[in-house]
Amino acid sequence: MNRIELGVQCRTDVAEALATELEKATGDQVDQVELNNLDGTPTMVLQVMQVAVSLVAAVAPIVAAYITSNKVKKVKLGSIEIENPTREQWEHLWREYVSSKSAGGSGGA
Amino acid sequence: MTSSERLRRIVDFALPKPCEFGEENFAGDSPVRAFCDLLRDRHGLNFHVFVAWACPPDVKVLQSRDRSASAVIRSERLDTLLIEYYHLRRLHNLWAGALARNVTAAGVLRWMCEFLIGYRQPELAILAHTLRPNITGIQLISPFRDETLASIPELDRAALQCFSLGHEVGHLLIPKQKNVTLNALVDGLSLAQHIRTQEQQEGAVPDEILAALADIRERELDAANLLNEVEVDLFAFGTVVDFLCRAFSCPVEVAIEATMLSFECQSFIYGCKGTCQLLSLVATGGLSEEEFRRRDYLIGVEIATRARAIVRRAGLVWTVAEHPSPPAEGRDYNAYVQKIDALIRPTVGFTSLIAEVLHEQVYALLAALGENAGPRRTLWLDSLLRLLEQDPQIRLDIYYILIAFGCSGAVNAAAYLRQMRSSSHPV
Repeated sequence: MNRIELGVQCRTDVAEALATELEKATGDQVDQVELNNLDGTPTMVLQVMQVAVSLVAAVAPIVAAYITSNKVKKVKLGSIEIENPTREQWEHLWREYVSSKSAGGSGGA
Repeated sequence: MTSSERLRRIVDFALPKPCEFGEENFAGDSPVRAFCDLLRDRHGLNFHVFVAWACPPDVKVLQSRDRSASAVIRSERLDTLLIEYYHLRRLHNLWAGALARNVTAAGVLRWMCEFLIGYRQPELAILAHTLRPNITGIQLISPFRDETLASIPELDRAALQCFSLGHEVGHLLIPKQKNVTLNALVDGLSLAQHIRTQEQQEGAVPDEILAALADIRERELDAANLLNEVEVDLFAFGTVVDFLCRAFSCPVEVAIEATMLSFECQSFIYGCKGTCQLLSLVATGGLSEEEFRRRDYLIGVEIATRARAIVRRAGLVWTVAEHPSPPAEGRDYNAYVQKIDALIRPTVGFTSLIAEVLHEQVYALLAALGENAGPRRTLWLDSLLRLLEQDPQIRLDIYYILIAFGCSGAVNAAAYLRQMRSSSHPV
């Protein structure tokens, strides 16, 4: 199955809920680690998973909701990362990706 | 996908782009590898150490949420900066007057330039570099990590690397406590007592200012974080002293001196990094100048408190090492105060000067930010980039910093700095 890597760096207080939603939507496991920068900034959680290309449109709104509530510091889809993403940037990113797949592009998976 | 591949995938995501990374080889230093093995065996830890390049001086600690696996990611620039501090301190007495100040300022401002590039603040980075005094002909280190590490004696080199690693691994082992106050005791003294003693040593300060500072600490100092950092420092200190004594068969005072020096190097470099991070927050509008001053003061309080806790522990470790079986009348811990003082006293002039230089330059940059706020900001960047393009020496120096970060030899310094605020990165 064609897959793409999805990464989310989020706040610890929402990590469990986000991982649960992503796993429920995809049926796949989310790898989670805590990230400490040792500089006094709050600990964050990194979540990485391989998403079936056909499910990107299904998981995108889940991530978008957490971005809107300012709980996400960084997102990655395939070969593109966005730091401090806005909802608009994220939606632009995944829609571009989905349309490139529909048009037969490789999408950087 | 294997667990190793999964870990590498997460490490890749943890790093800002365009960083690269690989398994740490400790520049071939077998004692440091042995130290890592000791930490794994003694504490039952499953941790990996990665080295990152093409990135600013930084360190990150990753831990799986079930605590079964963890990783430390160290920028290779970190060792280089620690050793530059080491050489600045070692050679300080060779220079006098203005030269001593200029050499110190040149080092501090180049570190600030590196940190500010890392925090994506091109204006501040270029400005910091232009403020460097001219010390042409004096070069303390190579820009390359392995050569720099090779420039110091083996025991000191091991101490520097092991203390950093011990501190980072300490964060994996020692959780932050909740509901901590400054009354928390460490080796029989409270954090608050350390702070009070430090204030007393800094000379006469009017009562109303002391009260205002106490109020800032009361409201804003994260006592839980400070206690955690102190505990982690002390863990690293004890582990490294013990390791050095065994690995190098050296007397305990030699191990204590090398480990205290390693703490001092790390403490200053991290303090400088923390202040540059605050400057970058001011630059992005995330912090007011007033908030900057308060938080910069708190960084100073934390550094001083941690240093006092280390010095106290050093005396206790020395006492116990020399008198493993306490005499009937008890150990005379105070007898070691003078011995520790003797280790510190020769470099007080240097540590005071470098702290003063950092403070002076940080506030020069803060003032420049204030003068170039709002719509003037873009013009400011343009003028500094023009300066960079026109001045071959500044361009070459910043080019070398970027090369030392691990950028390609074809990197164009001005173009790199101009585009560094972009937040979207093809991997």
